[in-house]
Amino acid sequence: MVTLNLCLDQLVLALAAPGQVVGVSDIAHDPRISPRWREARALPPVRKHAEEILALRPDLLIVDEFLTPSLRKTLRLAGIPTLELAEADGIGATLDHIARIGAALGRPAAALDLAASLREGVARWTAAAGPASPVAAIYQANGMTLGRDTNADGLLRIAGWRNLAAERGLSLFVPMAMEELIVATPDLLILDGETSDRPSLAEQMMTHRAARRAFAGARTLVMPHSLWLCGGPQNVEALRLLAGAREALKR
Amino acid sequence: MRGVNAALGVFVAVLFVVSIAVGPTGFAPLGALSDMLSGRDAPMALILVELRLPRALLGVIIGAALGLAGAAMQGLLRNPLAEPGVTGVSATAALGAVLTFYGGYAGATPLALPLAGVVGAASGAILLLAIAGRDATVATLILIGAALNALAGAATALVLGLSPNPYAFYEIGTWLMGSIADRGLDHVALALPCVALGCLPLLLARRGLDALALGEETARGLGVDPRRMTLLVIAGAALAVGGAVAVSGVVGFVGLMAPHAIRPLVRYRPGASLVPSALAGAALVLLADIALRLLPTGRELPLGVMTALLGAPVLWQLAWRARRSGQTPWL
Repeated sequence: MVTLNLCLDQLVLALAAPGQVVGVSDIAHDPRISPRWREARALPPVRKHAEEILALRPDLLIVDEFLTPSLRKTLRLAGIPTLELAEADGIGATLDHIARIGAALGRPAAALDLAASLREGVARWTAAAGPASPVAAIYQANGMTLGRDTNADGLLRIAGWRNLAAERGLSLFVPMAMEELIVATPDLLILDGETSDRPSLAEQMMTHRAARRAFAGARTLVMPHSLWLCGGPQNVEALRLLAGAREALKR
Repeated sequence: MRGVNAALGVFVAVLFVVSIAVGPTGFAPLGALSDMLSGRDAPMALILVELRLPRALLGVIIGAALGLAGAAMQGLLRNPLAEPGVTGVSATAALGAVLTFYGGYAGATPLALPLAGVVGAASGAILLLAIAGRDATVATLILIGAALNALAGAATALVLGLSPNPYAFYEIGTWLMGSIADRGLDHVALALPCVALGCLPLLLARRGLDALALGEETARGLGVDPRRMTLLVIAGAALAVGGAVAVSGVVGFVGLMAPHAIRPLVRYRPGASLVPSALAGAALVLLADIALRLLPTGRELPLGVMTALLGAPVLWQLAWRARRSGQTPWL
Protein backbone atom coordinates (compact mmCIF):
# COMPACT_ATOMS: atom_id res chain seq x y z
CA MET A 1 0.00 0.00 0.00
CA VAL A 2 0.95 3.68 -0.50
CA THR A 3 0.17 6.78 1.58
CA LEU A 4 0.15 10.30 0.20
CA ASN A 5 -0.11 12.46 3.31
CA LEU A 6 2.58 13.24 5.87
CA CYS A 7 0.29 12.63 8.85
CA LEU A 8 -1.19 9.41 7.49
CA ASP A 9 2.33 8.23 6.59
CA GLN A 10 3.24 8.30 10.28
CA LEU A 11 0.28 6.21 11.43
CA VAL A 12 0.71 3.74 8.59
CA LEU A 13 4.43 3.32 9.34
CA ALA A 14 3.59 2.78 13.02
CA LEU A 15 0.96 0.12 12.29
CA ALA A 16 2.07 -1.74 9.15
CA ALA A 17 3.81 -5.09 9.08
CA PRO A 18 7.28 -5.16 7.44
CA GLY A 19 6.99 -4.97 3.65
CA GLN A 20 3.36 -3.84 3.72
CA VAL A 21 4.12 -0.20 2.77
CA VAL A 22 5.69 0.42 -0.64
CA GLY A 23 5.56 4.22 -0.80
CA VAL A 24 5.12 7.29 1.39
CA SER A 25 4.54 10.99 0.66
CA ASP A 26 7.56 12.89 -0.61
CA ILE A 27 7.89 15.03 2.53
CA ALA A 28 7.92 12.05 4.91
CA HIS A 29 11.72 11.89 4.48
CA ASP A 30 12.22 15.28 6.13
CA PRO A 31 13.34 14.88 9.78
CA ARG A 32 12.14 18.38 10.68
CA ILE A 33 8.50 17.61 10.04
CA SER A 34 8.28 13.82 9.88
CA PRO A 35 8.58 11.89 13.19
CA ARG A 36 9.20 8.55 11.44
CA TRP A 37 11.59 9.90 8.80
CA ARG A 38 14.11 7.09 9.37
CA GLU A 39 11.62 4.38 8.40
CA ALA A 40 10.25 6.59 5.63
CA ARG A 41 13.69 6.94 4.04
CA ALA A 42 13.73 3.21 3.32
CA LEU A 43 10.72 3.74 1.03
CA PRO A 44 10.36 5.64 -2.24
CA PRO A 45 8.83 9.14 -1.97
CA VAL A 46 5.58 9.49 -3.91
CA ARG A 47 4.12 12.79 -5.06
CA LYS A 48 0.45 13.27 -5.89
CA HIS A 49 1.10 12.38 -9.52
CA ALA A 50 -0.88 9.54 -11.06
CA GLU A 51 2.19 8.14 -12.81
CA GLU A 52 4.25 7.85 -9.63
CA ILE A 53 1.38 6.21 -7.77
CA LEU A 54 0.41 3.72 -10.46
CA ALA A 55 4.04 2.68 -11.00
CA LEU A 56 4.05 1.17 -7.49
CA ARG A 57 0.89 -0.88 -8.20
CA PRO A 58 -0.56 -0.35 -4.70
CA ASP A 59 -3.34 -2.62 -3.45
CA LEU A 60 -4.49 0.22 -1.20
CA LEU A 61 -4.03 3.97 -1.26
CA ILE A 62 -4.44 6.04 1.91
CA VAL A 63 -5.01 9.71 1.05
CA ASP A 64 -6.16 13.04 2.50
CA GLU A 65 -9.04 15.14 1.17
CA PHE A 66 -6.81 17.20 -1.07
CA LEU A 67 -6.61 15.27 -4.34
CA THR A 68 -7.23 17.07 -7.60
CA PRO A 69 -10.39 15.96 -9.44
CA SER A 70 -8.31 14.65 -12.33
CA LEU A 71 -6.11 12.49 -10.05
CA ARG A 72 -9.21 11.18 -8.29
CA LYS A 73 -10.69 10.20 -11.63
CA THR A 74 -7.51 8.49 -12.82
CA LEU A 75 -7.30 6.46 -9.60
CA ARG A 76 -10.92 5.41 -9.95
CA LEU A 77 -10.36 4.32 -13.57
CA ALA A 78 -7.26 2.38 -12.51
CA GLY A 79 -9.40 0.62 -9.92
CA ILE A 80 -7.15 1.29 -6.92
CA PRO A 81 -8.97 0.90 -3.58
CA THR A 82 -8.67 4.20 -1.71
CA LEU A 83 -9.13 5.09 1.95
CA GLU A 84 -9.69 8.82 2.36
CA LEU A 85 -9.21 10.34 5.80
CA ALA A 86 -9.81 13.98 6.82
CA GLU A 87 -7.10 15.88 8.68
CA ALA A 88 -7.12 14.97 12.40
CA ASP A 89 -8.34 17.92 14.47
CA GLY A 90 -7.55 16.41 17.86
CA ILE A 91 -6.76 13.23 19.79
CA GLY A 92 -10.29 11.87 19.18
CA ALA A 93 -9.84 12.05 15.42
CA THR A 94 -6.33 10.59 15.69
CA LEU A 95 -7.67 7.58 17.64
CA ASP A 96 -10.31 7.13 14.95
CA HIS A 97 -7.62 7.24 12.23
CA ILE A 98 -5.55 4.65 14.09
CA ALA A 99 -8.52 2.27 14.28
CA ARG A 100 -9.47 2.70 10.63
CA ILE A 101 -5.93 2.37 9.29
CA GLY A 102 -5.39 -0.68 11.55
CA ALA A 103 -8.49 -2.29 10.08
CA ALA A 104 -7.52 -1.42 6.50
CA LEU A 105 -4.05 -2.92 6.99
CA GLY A 106 -5.43 -6.01 8.74
CA ARG A 107 -3.50 -5.05 11.88
CA PRO A 108 -6.24 -4.41 14.47
CA ALA A 109 -4.09 -5.63 17.39
CA ALA A 110 -1.30 -3.17 16.54
CA ALA A 111 -3.91 -0.43 16.30
CA LEU A 112 -5.29 -1.25 19.74
CA ASP A 113 -1.77 -1.17 21.23
CA LEU A 114 -0.93 2.16 19.61
CA ALA A 115 -4.26 3.67 20.69
CA ALA A 116 -3.76 2.44 24.25
CA SER A 117 -0.26 3.94 24.51
CA LEU A 118 -1.51 7.25 23.06
CA ARG A 119 -4.41 7.31 25.57
CA GLU A 120 -2.01 6.57 28.37
CA GLY A 121 0.37 9.37 27.33
CA VAL A 122 -2.50 11.83 27.01
CA ALA A 123 -3.81 10.85 30.46
CA ARG A 124 -0.36 11.38 31.97
CA TRP A 125 -0.14 14.98 30.75
CA THR A 126 -3.78 16.01 31.10
CA ALA A 127 -4.04 19.09 33.31
CA ALA A 128 -7.13 20.76 34.72
CA ALA A 129 -8.20 23.66 32.50
CA GLY A 130 -10.49 26.55 33.34
CA PRO A 131 -10.95 30.26 32.91
CA ALA A 132 -7.88 30.84 35.12
CA SER A 133 -5.65 28.69 32.91
CA PRO A 134 -2.68 30.47 31.31
CA VAL A 135 -3.04 31.66 27.71
CA ALA A 136 -0.74 30.50 24.93
CA ALA A 137 -0.50 32.07 21.48
CA ILE A 138 0.73 30.11 18.49
CA TYR A 139 2.71 32.25 16.06
CA GLN A 140 3.99 30.56 12.93
CA ALA A 141 5.73 31.49 9.71
CA ASN A 142 4.06 34.32 7.77
CA GLY A 143 2.31 35.47 10.95
CA MET A 144 -0.15 32.57 10.97
CA THR A 145 -1.85 31.09 14.02
CA LEU A 146 -3.92 27.97 14.73
CA GLY A 147 -7.43 28.30 16.13
CA ARG A 148 -10.14 25.83 17.01
CA ASP A 149 -10.50 22.51 15.19
CA THR A 150 -6.76 21.99 14.88
CA ASN A 151 -4.60 19.29 16.42
CA ALA A 152 -2.45 21.94 18.14
CA ASP A 153 -5.48 23.55 19.77
CA GLY A 154 -6.61 20.17 21.09
CA LEU A 155 -3.17 19.48 22.57
CA LEU A 156 -3.04 22.91 24.22
CA ARG A 157 -6.37 22.23 25.95
CA ILE A 158 -5.23 18.84 27.19
CA ALA A 159 -2.09 20.37 28.67
CA GLY A 160 -4.16 22.97 30.53
CA TRP A 161 -3.60 25.96 28.30
CA ARG A 162 -6.08 28.32 26.74
CA ASN A 163 -5.34 29.07 23.07
CA LEU A 164 -5.46 32.81 22.31
CA ALA A 165 -6.72 32.33 18.75
CA ALA A 166 -9.47 29.94 19.86
CA GLU A 167 -10.53 32.35 22.62
CA ARG A 168 -10.84 35.02 19.92
CA GLY A 169 -13.26 32.76 18.03
CA LEU A 170 -10.74 31.97 15.28
CA SER A 171 -10.62 28.50 13.82
CA LEU A 172 -8.19 26.56 11.66
CA PHE A 173 -5.08 28.19 10.11
CA VAL A 174 -5.49 31.98 10.10
CA PRO A 175 -3.30 35.10 10.11
CA MET A 176 -2.79 37.11 13.29
CA ALA A 177 -1.08 40.51 13.22
CA MET A 178 1.98 40.74 15.46
CA GLU A 179 0.52 43.90 16.97
CA GLU A 180 -2.57 42.00 18.12
CA LEU A 181 -0.36 39.30 19.55
CA ILE A 182 1.65 41.79 21.59
CA VAL A 183 -1.40 43.69 22.84
CA ALA A 184 -3.05 40.44 23.96
CA THR A 185 -0.03 39.71 26.24
CA PRO A 186 -0.43 35.93 26.31
CA ASP A 187 1.57 34.02 28.95
CA LEU A 188 3.38 31.97 26.34
CA LEU A 189 4.35 32.39 22.70
CA ILE A 190 4.68 29.12 20.81
CA LEU A 191 6.87 29.34 17.71
CA ASP A 192 7.50 26.79 14.95
CA GLY A 193 10.70 24.84 14.83
CA GLU A 194 12.77 25.43 11.70
CA THR A 195 11.80 23.81 8.41
CA SER A 196 15.22 23.86 6.75
CA ASP A 197 18.78 25.07 7.26
CA ARG A 198 18.11 28.03 4.96
CA PRO A 199 16.21 31.16 6.01
CA SER A 200 12.96 32.63 4.71
CA LEU A 201 11.22 35.94 5.25
CA ALA A 202 8.18 33.97 6.43
CA GLU A 203 10.08 32.37 9.30
CA GLN A 204 12.04 35.52 10.06
CA MET A 205 8.79 37.03 11.31
CA MET A 206 8.88 34.68 14.29
CA THR A 207 12.14 36.19 15.49
CA HIS A 208 11.09 39.80 14.96
CA ARG A 209 12.65 42.12 17.55
CA ALA A 210 9.21 43.12 18.80
CA ALA A 211 8.29 39.49 19.53
CA ARG A 212 11.67 38.81 21.11
CA ARG A 213 11.28 41.78 23.45
CA ALA A 214 7.64 41.04 24.29
CA PHE A 215 8.17 37.33 25.00
CA ALA A 216 11.61 37.02 26.54
CA GLY A 217 12.89 34.00 28.48
CA ALA A 218 10.41 31.38 29.66
CA ARG A 219 7.60 33.05 27.77
CA THR A 220 8.68 31.49 24.46
CA LEU A 221 8.49 27.83 23.48
CA VAL A 222 9.77 26.47 20.19
CA MET A 223 7.65 23.51 19.14
CA PRO A 224 9.17 21.27 16.46
CA HIS A 225 6.78 20.71 13.55
CA SER A 226 7.22 16.97 13.86
CA LEU A 227 5.64 16.87 17.33
CA TRP A 228 2.26 18.48 16.78
CA LEU A 229 1.68 19.12 13.11
CA CYS A 230 0.07 15.68 12.85
CA GLY A 231 -2.01 13.63 15.25
CA GLY A 232 -0.12 10.58 16.49
CA PRO A 233 2.03 9.08 19.27
CA GLN A 234 4.53 11.92 18.85
CA ASN A 235 1.89 14.23 20.38
CA VAL A 236 2.76 12.85 23.83
CA GLU A 237 6.14 14.54 23.56
CA ALA A 238 4.43 17.81 22.55
CA LEU A 239 2.19 17.49 25.64
CA ARG A 240 5.29 17.00 27.79
CA LEU A 241 6.82 20.22 26.40
CA LEU A 242 3.57 22.12 26.99
CA ALA A 243 3.34 20.81 30.55
CA GLY A 244 6.97 21.83 31.12
CA ALA A 245 6.22 25.34 29.86
CA ARG A 246 3.34 25.54 32.35
CA GLU A 247 5.62 24.51 35.18
CA ALA A 248 8.17 27.11 34.08
CA LEU A 249 5.50 29.82 34.33
CA LYS A 250 4.88 29.06 37.99
CA ARG A 251 8.54 29.59 38.86
CA MET B 1 13.10 76.18 -4.17
CA ARG B 2 13.25 76.52 -0.42
CA GLY B 3 9.48 76.79 -0.39
CA VAL B 4 9.08 73.59 -2.40
CA ASN B 5 11.39 71.66 -0.09
CA ALA B 6 9.72 73.04 3.03
CA ALA B 7 6.23 72.20 1.77
CA LEU B 8 7.29 68.67 0.76
CA GLY B 9 9.07 68.25 4.09
CA VAL B 10 5.91 69.13 5.99
CA PHE B 11 3.90 66.74 3.80
CA VAL B 12 6.35 63.88 4.51
CA ALA B 13 6.22 64.66 8.24
CA VAL B 14 2.41 64.54 8.23
CA LEU B 15 2.39 61.24 6.32
CA PHE B 16 5.02 59.87 8.71
CA VAL B 17 2.72 60.56 11.67
CA VAL B 18 -0.28 59.07 9.83
CA SER B 19 1.79 55.98 8.97
CA ILE B 20 2.61 55.51 12.65
CA ALA B 21 -1.05 56.00 13.56
CA VAL B 22 -2.38 53.33 11.17
CA GLY B 23 -2.36 49.70 12.28
CA PRO B 24 -4.45 46.72 13.34
CA THR B 25 -4.50 47.70 17.01
CA GLY B 26 -5.39 51.35 16.41
CA PHE B 27 -3.43 54.27 17.79
CA ALA B 28 -3.11 54.98 21.47
CA PRO B 29 -0.44 57.70 21.61
CA LEU B 30 -1.20 58.54 25.23
CA GLY B 31 -1.11 54.91 26.30
CA ALA B 32 2.16 54.41 24.46
CA LEU B 33 3.57 57.57 26.03
CA SER B 34 2.70 56.48 29.54
CA ASP B 35 4.05 53.01 28.75
CA MET B 36 7.29 54.56 27.58
CA LEU B 37 7.61 56.90 30.54
CA SER B 38 7.18 53.94 32.85
CA GLY B 39 10.18 52.44 31.04
CA ARG B 40 8.73 48.95 30.75
CA ASP B 41 8.34 46.91 27.59
CA ALA B 42 4.63 47.63 27.71
CA PRO B 43 2.60 46.57 24.65
CA MET B 44 1.72 49.90 23.05
CA ALA B 45 5.21 51.33 23.47
CA LEU B 46 6.68 48.18 21.99
CA ILE B 47 4.31 48.31 19.03
CA LEU B 48 5.08 51.97 18.48
CA VAL B 49 8.86 51.62 18.65
CA GLU B 50 9.43 48.15 17.20
CA LEU B 51 6.68 47.88 14.57
CA ARG B 52 5.14 51.21 13.57
CA LEU B 53 8.27 53.35 13.76
CA PRO B 54 10.50 51.09 11.62
CA ARG B 55 7.77 50.79 9.01
CA ALA B 56 7.35 54.56 8.73
CA LEU B 57 11.13 55.09 8.76
CA LEU B 58 11.61 52.52 6.00
CA GLY B 59 8.89 54.25 3.97
CA VAL B 60 10.90 57.48 4.15
CA ILE B 61 14.31 55.86 3.58
CA ILE B 62 13.23 53.68 0.65
CA GLY B 63 11.10 56.36 -0.96
CA ALA B 64 13.86 58.95 -0.66
CA ALA B 65 16.47 56.55 -2.05
CA LEU B 66 14.36 55.67 -5.09
CA GLY B 67 13.20 59.26 -5.72
CA LEU B 68 16.72 60.66 -5.49
CA ALA B 69 18.27 57.90 -7.59
CA GLY B 70 15.55 58.34 -10.22
CA ALA B 71 16.10 62.10 -10.46
CA ALA B 72 19.88 61.70 -10.69
CA MET B 73 19.68 58.95 -13.32
CA GLN B 74 17.25 61.00 -15.41
CA GLY B 75 19.62 63.94 -15.18
CA LEU B 76 22.73 61.96 -16.06
CA LEU B 77 21.21 60.08 -18.99
CA ARG B 78 19.07 63.06 -20.06
CA ASN B 79 16.30 60.59 -20.36
CA PRO B 80 12.86 60.99 -18.73
CA LEU B 81 12.44 57.24 -18.19
CA ALA B 82 15.81 56.48 -16.58
CA GLU B 83 14.77 55.18 -13.19
CA PRO B 84 15.89 52.23 -11.01
CA GLY B 85 12.70 50.23 -11.66
CA VAL B 86 12.30 50.75 -15.41
CA THR B 87 16.01 50.26 -16.13
CA GLY B 88 16.22 47.01 -14.16
CA VAL B 89 18.69 48.32 -11.56
CA SER B 90 16.23 47.59 -8.74
CA ALA B 91 15.67 44.08 -10.10
CA THR B 92 19.39 43.27 -10.14
CA ALA B 93 19.67 44.70 -6.62
CA ALA B 94 16.87 42.36 -5.51
CA LEU B 95 18.63 39.42 -7.18
CA GLY B 96 21.80 40.19 -5.22
CA ALA B 97 19.86 40.36 -1.97
CA VAL B 98 17.92 37.16 -2.73
CA LEU B 99 21.11 35.22 -3.53
CA THR B 100 22.63 36.30 -0.23
CA PHE B 101 19.57 35.93 1.98
CA TYR B 102 18.35 32.53 0.77
CA GLY B 103 21.90 31.25 0.47
CA GLY B 104 22.06 31.70 4.22
CA TYR B 105 24.86 34.30 4.15
CA ALA B 106 22.83 37.24 5.51
CA GLY B 107 23.37 36.07 9.07
CA ALA B 108 27.17 36.06 8.70
CA THR B 109 27.48 39.81 9.07
CA PRO B 110 24.74 42.45 9.19
CA LEU B 111 26.41 44.16 6.23
CA ALA B 112 26.11 41.15 3.92
CA LEU B 113 22.52 41.75 2.83
CA PRO B 114 22.71 45.47 1.96
CA LEU B 115 26.14 44.97 0.37
CA ALA B 116 24.73 42.24 -1.85
CA GLY B 117 21.96 44.63 -2.85
CA VAL B 118 24.55 47.29 -3.67
CA VAL B 119 26.66 44.87 -5.71
CA GLY B 120 23.52 43.78 -7.58
CA ALA B 121 22.45 47.36 -8.26
CA ALA B 122 25.96 48.36 -9.37
CA SER B 123 26.16 45.40 -11.77
CA GLY B 124 22.79 46.35 -13.23
CA ALA B 125 23.76 50.00 -13.61
CA ILE B 126 27.16 49.20 -15.17
CA LEU B 127 25.57 46.74 -17.58
CA LEU B 128 22.93 49.32 -18.51
CA LEU B 129 25.51 51.98 -19.15
CA ALA B 130 27.85 49.68 -21.01
CA ILE B 131 25.11 48.69 -23.45
CA ALA B 132 23.16 51.92 -23.68
CA GLY B 133 25.82 54.58 -23.20
CA ARG B 134 24.98 58.04 -21.93
CA ASP B 135 23.12 59.16 -25.02
CA ALA B 136 20.86 56.20 -25.69
CA THR B 137 17.41 56.92 -27.03
CA VAL B 138 14.44 56.41 -24.75
CA ALA B 139 13.53 53.27 -26.68
CA THR B 140 17.00 51.70 -26.30
CA LEU B 141 16.96 52.36 -22.58
CA ILE B 142 13.51 50.81 -22.20
CA LEU B 143 14.51 47.74 -24.21
CA ILE B 144 17.63 47.15 -22.15
CA GLY B 145 15.63 47.77 -18.99
CA ALA B 146 12.96 45.27 -20.04
CA ALA B 147 15.63 42.65 -20.75
CA LEU B 148 17.42 43.28 -17.44
CA ASN B 149 14.11 43.18 -15.55
CA ALA B 150 13.07 39.92 -17.19
CA LEU B 151 16.44 38.29 -16.63
CA ALA B 152 16.87 39.40 -13.02
CA GLY B 153 13.24 38.51 -12.22
CA ALA B 154 13.58 35.04 -13.70
CA ALA B 155 16.90 34.47 -11.93
CA THR B 156 15.27 35.56 -8.66
CA ALA B 157 12.47 33.03 -9.17
CA LEU B 158 15.03 30.34 -9.94
CA VAL B 159 17.04 31.05 -6.78
CA LEU B 160 13.87 31.00 -4.67
CA GLY B 161 12.75 27.76 -6.30
CA LEU B 162 16.11 26.09 -5.62
CA SER B 163 16.04 27.01 -1.92
CA PRO B 164 15.32 23.99 0.29
CA ASN B 165 13.16 26.21 2.48
CA PRO B 166 9.48 25.43 1.80
CA TYR B 167 8.43 29.07 2.22
CA ALA B 168 11.08 30.56 -0.06
CA PHE B 169 9.33 30.19 -3.39
CA TYR B 170 6.19 31.90 -2.13
CA GLU B 171 8.22 34.99 -1.24
CA ILE B 172 8.73 35.95 -4.86
CA GLY B 173 5.97 38.56 -4.56
CA THR B 174 7.84 40.38 -1.83
CA TRP B 175 11.01 40.60 -3.90
CA LEU B 176 9.43 41.47 -7.26
CA MET B 177 6.70 43.78 -5.93
CA GLY B 178 8.15 45.06 -2.68
CA SER B 179 6.94 45.26 0.89
CA ILE B 180 7.87 46.96 4.14
CA ALA B 181 5.35 45.07 6.27
CA ASP B 182 6.54 43.53 9.55
CA ARG B 183 10.05 44.93 9.30
CA GLY B 184 11.91 46.01 12.43
CA LEU B 185 14.48 48.52 13.59
CA ASP B 186 17.19 46.05 12.57
CA HIS B 187 16.01 46.45 8.97
CA VAL B 188 16.27 50.22 9.35
CA ALA B 189 19.84 49.72 10.51
CA LEU B 190 20.50 47.61 7.40
CA ALA B 191 19.09 50.09 4.89
CA LEU B 192 19.92 53.48 6.39
CA PRO B 193 23.75 53.47 6.21
CA CYS B 194 23.84 52.46 2.54
CA VAL B 195 21.11 54.89 1.55
CA ALA B 196 22.70 57.75 3.48
CA LEU B 197 26.10 56.96 2.00
CA GLY B 198 24.57 56.81 -1.49
CA CYS B 199 22.89 60.20 -1.09
CA LEU B 200 26.25 61.94 -0.69
CA PRO B 201 27.66 61.37 -4.21
CA LEU B 202 24.23 61.99 -5.72
CA LEU B 203 23.96 65.35 -3.99
CA LEU B 204 27.57 66.17 -4.91
CA ALA B 205 26.51 65.76 -8.55
CA ARG B 206 23.92 68.57 -8.29
CA ARG B 207 25.81 71.34 -10.10
CA GLY B 208 27.34 68.95 -12.60
CA LEU B 209 23.94 67.58 -13.59
CA ASP B 210 22.67 71.11 -14.26
CA ALA B 211 25.67 71.73 -16.50
CA LEU B 212 25.29 68.35 -18.20
CA ALA B 213 21.70 69.27 -19.11
CA LEU B 214 23.22 71.81 -21.52
CA GLY B 215 25.12 69.09 -23.37
CA GLU B 216 28.44 67.38 -22.77
CA GLU B 217 30.52 69.94 -24.67
CA THR B 218 29.05 72.86 -22.74
CA ALA B 219 29.45 70.95 -19.51
CA ARG B 220 33.14 70.39 -20.22
CA GLY B 221 33.47 74.10 -20.98
CA LEU B 222 31.98 74.82 -17.55
CA GLY B 223 34.63 72.61 -15.97
CA VAL B 224 32.36 69.61 -15.41
CA ASP B 225 33.82 66.20 -16.22
CA PRO B 226 31.03 63.98 -17.57
CA ARG B 227 33.01 60.86 -16.61
CA ARG B 228 33.18 62.00 -13.00
CA MET B 229 29.44 62.73 -13.06
CA THR B 230 28.74 59.24 -14.35
CA LEU B 231 30.85 57.73 -11.60
CA LEU B 232 29.16 59.80 -8.90
CA VAL B 233 25.64 58.95 -10.07
CA ILE B 234 26.34 55.23 -10.60
CA ALA B 235 28.03 54.87 -7.21
CA GLY B 236 25.34 56.88 -5.43
CA ALA B 237 22.41 55.16 -7.15
CA ALA B 238 23.90 51.70 -6.55
CA LEU B 239 24.41 52.40 -2.83
CA ALA B 240 21.01 54.01 -2.31
CA VAL B 241 18.96 51.59 -4.44
CA GLY B 242 20.93 48.51 -3.31
CA GLY B 243 20.51 49.33 0.37
CA ALA B 244 16.82 50.09 -0.04
CA VAL B 245 15.87 47.13 -2.24
CA ALA B 246 17.79 44.66 -0.02
CA VAL B 247 15.20 45.38 2.67
CA SER B 248 12.03 46.12 0.69
CA GLY B 249 12.33 44.27 -2.61
CA VAL B 250 11.57 46.07 -5.87
CA VAL B 251 9.19 48.98 -5.37
CA GLY B 252 8.51 50.23 -8.88
CA PHE B 253 7.72 53.62 -10.37
CA VAL B 254 8.77 55.74 -7.37
CA GLY B 255 11.91 56.95 -9.13
CA LEU B 256 9.80 57.75 -12.17
CA MET B 257 6.90 59.52 -10.49
CA ALA B 258 8.75 61.59 -7.92
CA PRO B 259 11.00 63.58 -10.33
CA HIS B 260 8.16 64.11 -12.81
CA ALA B 261 5.83 65.35 -10.11
CA ILE B 262 8.24 68.01 -8.88
CA ARG B 263 10.01 68.95 -12.14
CA PRO B 264 7.61 71.78 -13.07
CA LEU B 265 8.18 73.26 -9.60
CA VAL B 266 11.97 73.48 -10.02
CA ARG B 267 11.93 74.84 -13.59
CA TYR B 268 13.24 71.61 -15.06
CA ARG B 269 16.75 71.87 -13.61
CA PRO B 270 18.01 68.35 -12.91
CA GLY B 271 20.31 69.42 -10.07
CA ALA B 272 17.55 71.35 -8.34
CA SER B 273 15.18 68.40 -8.68
CA LEU B 274 17.29 66.05 -6.51
CA VAL B 275 16.25 66.99 -2.97
CA PRO B 276 12.58 67.58 -3.80
CA SER B 277 12.52 64.23 -5.65
CA ALA B 278 13.83 62.47 -2.55
CA LEU B 279 11.11 64.10 -0.47
CA ALA B 280 8.43 63.35 -3.06
CA GLY B 281 9.63 59.72 -3.22
CA ALA B 282 9.36 59.41 0.56
CA ALA B 283 5.86 60.87 0.45
CA LEU B 284 4.81 58.50 -2.33
CA VAL B 285 6.00 55.36 -0.57
CA LEU B 286 4.45 56.45 2.75
CA LEU B 287 1.18 57.24 0.96
CA ALA B 288 1.13 53.89 -0.87
CA ASP B 289 2.03 51.99 2.31
CA ILE B 290 -0.74 53.73 4.27
CA ALA B 291 -3.28 53.08 1.49
CA LEU B 292 -2.58 49.35 1.32
CA ARG B 293 -3.05 49.05 5.09
CA LEU B 294 -6.42 50.79 4.89
CA LEU B 295 -7.73 48.79 1.91
CA PRO B 296 -10.04 45.93 2.95
CA THR B 297 -8.04 43.29 1.03
CA GLY B 298 -7.84 40.63 3.73
CA ARG B 299 -4.14 40.00 3.31
CA GLU B 300 -2.01 43.07 2.75
CA LEU B 301 -1.07 43.79 -0.88
CA PRO B 302 2.59 44.23 -1.85
CA LEU B 303 3.78 47.83 -1.79
CA GLY B 304 4.67 47.71 -5.48
CA VAL B 305 1.02 47.09 -6.38
CA MET B 306 0.06 50.47 -4.99
CA THR B 307 3.02 52.32 -6.52
CA ALA B 308 2.32 50.69 -9.90
CA LEU B 309 -1.34 51.73 -9.73
CA LEU B 310 -0.18 55.29 -9.19
CA GLY B 311 2.87 55.15 -11.45
CA ALA B 312 1.72 53.34 -14.58
CA PRO B 313 -0.61 56.23 -15.55
CA VAL B 314 2.40 58.58 -15.27
CA LEU B 315 4.21 56.43 -17.81
CA TRP B 316 1.21 56.57 -20.12
CA GLN B 317 0.96 60.29 -19.74
CA LEU B 318 4.65 60.70 -20.61
CA ALA B 319 4.20 58.60 -23.72
CA TRP B 320 1.05 60.47 -24.68
CA ARG B 321 2.66 63.87 -24.28
CA ALA B 322 5.78 62.83 -26.19
CA ARG B 323 3.69 61.48 -29.02
CA ARG B 324 1.51 64.55 -29.26
CA SER B 325 4.43 66.94 -29.30
CA GLY B 326 6.14 64.75 -31.88
CA GLN B 327 9.45 65.16 -30.04
CA THR B 328 10.34 61.51 -30.01
CA PRO B 329 10.49 59.58 -33.24
CA TRP B 330 10.17 56.25 -31.40
CA LEU B 331 6.48 56.61 -30.54
